[in-house]
Amino acid sequence: MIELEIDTYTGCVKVLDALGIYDVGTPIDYNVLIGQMEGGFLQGIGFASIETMVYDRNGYIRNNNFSDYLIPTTLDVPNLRVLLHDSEYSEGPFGAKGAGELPLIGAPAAYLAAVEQALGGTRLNHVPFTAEDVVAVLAKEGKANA
Amino acid sequence: MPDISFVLNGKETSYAGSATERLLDVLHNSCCVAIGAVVGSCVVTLEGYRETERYAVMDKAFADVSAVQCGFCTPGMILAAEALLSKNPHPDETEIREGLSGNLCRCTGYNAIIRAVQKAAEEGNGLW
Amino acid sequence: MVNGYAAESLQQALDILVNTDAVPYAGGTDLMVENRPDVKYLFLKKIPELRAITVDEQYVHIGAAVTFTEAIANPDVPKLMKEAITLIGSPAIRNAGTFGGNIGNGSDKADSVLIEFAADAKICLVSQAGERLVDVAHFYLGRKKLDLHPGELIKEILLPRYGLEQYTYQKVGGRKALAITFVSFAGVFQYFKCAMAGLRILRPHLGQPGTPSRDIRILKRCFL
Repeated sequence: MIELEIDTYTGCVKVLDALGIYDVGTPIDYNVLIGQMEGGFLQGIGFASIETMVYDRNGYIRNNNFSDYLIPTTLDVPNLRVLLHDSEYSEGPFGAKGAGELPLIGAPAAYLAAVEQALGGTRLNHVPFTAEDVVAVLAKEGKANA
Repeated sequence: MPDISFVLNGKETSYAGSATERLLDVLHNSCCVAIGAVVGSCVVTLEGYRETERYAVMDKAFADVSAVQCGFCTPGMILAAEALLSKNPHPDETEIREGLSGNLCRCTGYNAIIRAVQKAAEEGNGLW
Repeated sequence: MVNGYAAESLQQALDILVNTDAVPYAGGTDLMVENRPDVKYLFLKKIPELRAITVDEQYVHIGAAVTFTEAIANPDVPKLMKEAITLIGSPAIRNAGTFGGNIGNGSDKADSVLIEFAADAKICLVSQAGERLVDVAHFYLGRKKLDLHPGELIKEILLPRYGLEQYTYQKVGGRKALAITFVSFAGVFQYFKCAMAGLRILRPHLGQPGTPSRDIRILKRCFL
């Protein structure tokens, strides 16, 4: 679940609340697991918002350094939180399930759904959905500077 | 010549924060500092900082809250936290986030690292 | 392997500049990422005239090698400038980055320069021939081109002390830290003058790329 607000003047998106609830069976090492969940969740939000990847015609990534390929910093989503749905998985070792791949998956969809709702329901179909993309939608619908 | 293995090349852009050092109590990205610029100055890298009591508190705090996943950002985070606590021994969460804003982490989502710095600040009472 | 020169005085620095192909290095945060092969740097951090912040009746003089962190801590630096430079990069970058470097590399993305534009600041250049004052608006000749003659160093920035109290500033970057500015706006209002505004546009399709602009038509287009 992601709650956000959009500055209709600049297109900037501010995440107000990001909550991820994950079912990974029994947590084996709780702190390490939460760290993985939080990390993957933030990766998903970055993937949906600022991680534009630019390829050239030969498939080389053009923005292949930290200043051009943007990932979230400490200041970008300070209100990210994670909870576990605690249920033992009978088929897994000590009741656990695989956890690492999970948190990345739902986050971009949640982010984009929130942006869609904020922008009044226009269907959006690509990530990352950057501030410029937001401004383009607002301009098209005449809602900029609202 | 000491092994300064923790002064990493911060991917040549100064952005990763993983190449961090303290120069006269001021935090720097060492990948952006030419040696000629620091002649005559005191440079502290993680190797030197590891010998201190403050580091022991920091080390324990990071371990207690499992603030390390792959560990690549950790040296930079620790030095940035040290720089922060030297100037502000009891920072609130926003101040911690600002102090560490130059250090990128891909694995943890930052929350555990922030908690580790808070814990170090609480438990190291008097050291900073 | 880098050969460098460390100057202890302004005169020494100017001599080295004239007699070698050394590149002036204050904080190094822009230079070092360029990774120029076989470059020789002229290290300026030991020169007292470049490290000082002083005031006279009209201006705050900020030395070219003053870092952003130092300026933020100084009570004489106007709030508008502090607000802009607080958003530069990260703590470590602000600890090294300087006013001279921010304008000296000719970048159109320089945050302190936008404020200098909005404030009608002046740049003081120094060479063997003496000092020269240039309005910041005339210092940029185009993208990455400055009115900086060979043998000249940027000595200090002259920011007006008064008249910058009523302002608005906004920076839009890719994220909340370590963000190069996409678009930023600085507006200063003075009661006895028309409102002044400085705007830098980095998206070419929005208007004239590169240099900060005070053209109100470009300002309107930038914000739709």
